[in-house]
Amino acid sequence: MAAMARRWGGRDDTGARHPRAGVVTAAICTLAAPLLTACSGDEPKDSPPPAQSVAFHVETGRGAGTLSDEARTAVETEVGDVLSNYVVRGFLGEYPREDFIRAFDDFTARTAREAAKDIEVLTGARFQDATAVQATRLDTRLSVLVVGRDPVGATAAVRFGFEAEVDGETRPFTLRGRFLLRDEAGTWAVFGYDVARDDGGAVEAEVSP
Amino acid sequence: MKARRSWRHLARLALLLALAGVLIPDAGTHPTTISLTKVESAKSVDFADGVVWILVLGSDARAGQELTKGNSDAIQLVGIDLQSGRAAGIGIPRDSYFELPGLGLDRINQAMKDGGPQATAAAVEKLVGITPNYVFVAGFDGFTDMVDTIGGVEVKSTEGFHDPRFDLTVKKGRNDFDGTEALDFSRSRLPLDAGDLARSANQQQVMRGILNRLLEREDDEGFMERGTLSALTGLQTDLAPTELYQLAQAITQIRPGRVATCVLSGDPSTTSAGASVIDPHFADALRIGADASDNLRFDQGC
Repeated sequence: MAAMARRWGGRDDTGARHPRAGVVTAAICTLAAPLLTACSGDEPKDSPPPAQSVAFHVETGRGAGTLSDEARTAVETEVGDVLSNYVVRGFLGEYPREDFIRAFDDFTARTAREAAKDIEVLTGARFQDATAVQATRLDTRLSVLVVGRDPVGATAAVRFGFEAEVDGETRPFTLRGRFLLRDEAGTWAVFGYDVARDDGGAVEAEVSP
Repeated sequence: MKARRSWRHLARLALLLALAGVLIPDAGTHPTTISLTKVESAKSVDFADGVVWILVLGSDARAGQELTKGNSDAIQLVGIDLQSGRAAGIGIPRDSYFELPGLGLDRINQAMKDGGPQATAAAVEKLVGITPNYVFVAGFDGFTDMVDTIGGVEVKSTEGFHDPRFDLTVKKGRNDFDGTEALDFSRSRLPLDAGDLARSANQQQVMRGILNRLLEREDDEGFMERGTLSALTGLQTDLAPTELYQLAQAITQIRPGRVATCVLSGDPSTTSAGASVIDPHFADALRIGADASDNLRFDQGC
């Protein structure tokens, strides 16, 4: 997992963080199998190359309180890790698949319970029989609440786009909205969500008076 | 805890489609095909299971004075249930005069100064039979800043009046208030026909206005964070910053149509020392508390 953090979270081999100007990007392997280790960069040389990747883009917008550059980079990295894990576990990986519930591993217990009821909106569960699901856009913009010097909470406004391969057809779908996160003792967790899922132009209607 | 708007987008487009059929002349001769998009929503915020009761106290402490050393001139017991999206507000007139637990016979607004917020909570519990889970104390400056931070509030007043004490003019119906005006509206009593009871009802209108503003602007970038930081600065509470942030986000699950309010009644009276007070209707207060305690509704009336 250290390699994962390096690839996704902006740490070098010593664990130090790279100061960056407000944007952290990380590559997500869209055919992660098994989900996380496929992105570790430790694949044997004769293994097939990763199919496709899309940048997981995290930037910080307007929030409340004073956020130092170092703290901002840390928040972007840590919240980026939580959300990218959610995306991989909830939407990507090797299809057909069923274990979508793992998407909520970094949610608070109560929120994970509620999320399980909304699993068809919050994950790719309705495409469980697809041959593949790929990410086309993974943009996140953070608003951080800083108390004193400590980031204690954040809203992550997300715009995620995906494509599912179903019965030989490509079906685009999006997830937009907000995830709410809190930091407790250095661990970020999702305590809420308010999202809209658009599975594309599924209905054709004809009007004639 | 959830608010689904499944097919709402579809319905809107269908309505547009229907209107197009009526309004566009050509629609009568050329059938039109339009793709309709299905959008599903999901919302949940973790704060607590079941009903949570918050005692909100407005302190009249002056600048430099500890908030809890002032009189609590606004006393509102607010219940929220995130699962049902309901909220209830029970307003307690500050002049309610009865035997305060551990403090003796006095107005309830004296309890905080003499025994701290917990003494007020104990008095409220004696009156309505509900134990608050949390107590918030707001001062003048903190309240004003909070309202200004969220962009002011729209408040509906049941009567028009002018209060020369605050140089405040209020229209019957809708009023747009900044922080200072909202504070003055919450404090005005003398011009109101029902005095302290009407003032308590006006405080509830301000709280409705704050809720509506949160719902209007919760999607604005950084809005909830700035509001929470303002609350952390202006409120005295035993909630940790993270918990207050969660609560602020959770409040957006309350649906304005599911908010019920009630102000406890009483009879105007005068103490032996000549002070104007209210003798609360204890039986009604306990009935109202019992009625609202579980489902946040006043099924038996206010």
